[in-house]
Amino acid sequence: MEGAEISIRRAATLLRDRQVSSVELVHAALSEIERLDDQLNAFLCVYRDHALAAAERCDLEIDRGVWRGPLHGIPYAAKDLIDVAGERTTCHSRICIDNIARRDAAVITRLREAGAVLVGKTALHEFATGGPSFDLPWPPARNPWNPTMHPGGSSSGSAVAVAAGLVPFALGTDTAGSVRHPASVCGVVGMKPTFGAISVEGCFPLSFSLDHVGPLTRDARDNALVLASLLEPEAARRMQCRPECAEPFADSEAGLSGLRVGYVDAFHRASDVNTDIAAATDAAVELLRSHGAKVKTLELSPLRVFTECGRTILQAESFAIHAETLRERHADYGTRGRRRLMSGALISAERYVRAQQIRTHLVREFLSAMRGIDVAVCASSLELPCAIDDEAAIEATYDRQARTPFNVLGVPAISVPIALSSNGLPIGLQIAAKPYAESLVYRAAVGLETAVGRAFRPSVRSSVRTMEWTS
Amino acid sequence: MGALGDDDLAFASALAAAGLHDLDPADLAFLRRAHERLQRPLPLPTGFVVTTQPACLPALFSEDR
Repeated sequence: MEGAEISIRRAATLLRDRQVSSVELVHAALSEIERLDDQLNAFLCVYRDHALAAAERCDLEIDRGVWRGPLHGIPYAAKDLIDVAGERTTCHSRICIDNIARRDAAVITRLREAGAVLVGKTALHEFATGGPSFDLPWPPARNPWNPTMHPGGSSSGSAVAVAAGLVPFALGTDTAGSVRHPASVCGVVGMKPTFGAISVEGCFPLSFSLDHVGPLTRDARDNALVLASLLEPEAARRMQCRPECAEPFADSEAGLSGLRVGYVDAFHRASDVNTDIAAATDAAVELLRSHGAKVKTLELSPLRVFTECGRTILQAESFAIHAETLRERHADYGTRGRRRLMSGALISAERYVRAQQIRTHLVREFLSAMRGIDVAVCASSLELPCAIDDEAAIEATYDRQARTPFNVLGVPAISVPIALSSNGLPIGLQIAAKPYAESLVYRAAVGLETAVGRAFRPSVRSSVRTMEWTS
Repeated sequence: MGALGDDDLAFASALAAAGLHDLDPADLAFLRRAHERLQRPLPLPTGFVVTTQPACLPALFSEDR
């Protein structure tokens, strides 16, 4: 038995060949959660009995020759703003502490049909906004690379659970980078697909026109497998994705040779970026070039145009969602979340519409700039994680990132770990593409992982028996 | 207490219109700073035309086909 840190692909092979059971995989995940989560706070709740019962059903199906695909029998976790019928969806907030979901979110249904086994729900920033907070009913998740540092967010617990080897994959949501941020700083792969490609039904919204669901995994190939199982049928058709296949995206194994890469270096060069991040980003792009990619500079509008546009839309839409509750129970929110959400009350309709007009311009600009280019690459964060309890630094670095552009554009974007900083924290590179070009994103991500050629494992996992990272 | 300026009134009106009352002073200070930032116009991309339609992503994506 290989433990909780096994890759999805390896686990799927072993499960199908009946060399390992789903019950064993779920037991391994539960045992790692029990062993490590007191330090990490990744989980808000663990469904031990339900998960073991679901795993037993998976094993019976596999014994009968029923094979649902590569996620059949695989344990996973979901951010606790995603509904699971009969269970609490807390959004990591006192406001929703008694909120019992009546039905499964669409993504939970899809994963259930694919045979994946939900072991628990993970920590987040309150209602997916703000940052790590200590005035909520549950503590914030801790970065497994250094528990005193910011774990990224808002899908913090999902990234921490995957990075620490507690589960092979987890679901997050991404409205301004909330999958890619924790992926970047926890050293895992986080993907936000094309807007609308995965249903957000049953996920507590933050901003209707910016919200996405996305998977976090330990490598890009596993990520492609999970994404394929989550797609709406029309999106899968447009991506030419075959969810039942071991390689669901046709281009993903095509390698870097000949890949046309646009480097949006202005996003970080114009932003007084941290020097470790600048060096790692440039080095990763050079690595792409040295492995045969054709790299040229890609010019888009300044990062600030995207950031202000995205923030305006997010704040206005999130206030509309929370207005009534803020009026009636504002003291029940945590300080950081409450202030972020109330700020939207100050945005005029004129400013909101102007932001949506700017967004139209930016999408057209991107589609035009990407003619003759397969993928765009750029930095993810512009600062290394600050201390988890440094209030001023959390506020100051909140917008110091280049992830929001891809929520504004609604195009697929992934964060892949590329290096460690001088203080030992992971750094991610973003890879984006035109709408429905997820296959090219995975081609670049798999190629980059292979070129980087190393695993990113936090020391918290050192006592866990190590598994193969690529296979 | 001095007379409220236009900007103070605009800030107070926005909060009142949103139904946000009895906020603590630290929250008000945070929101005041947010209000001040919002006095600056949104930065515009080069070539932006004010009559551009608000975004509808599926329709925009289909322009690329």
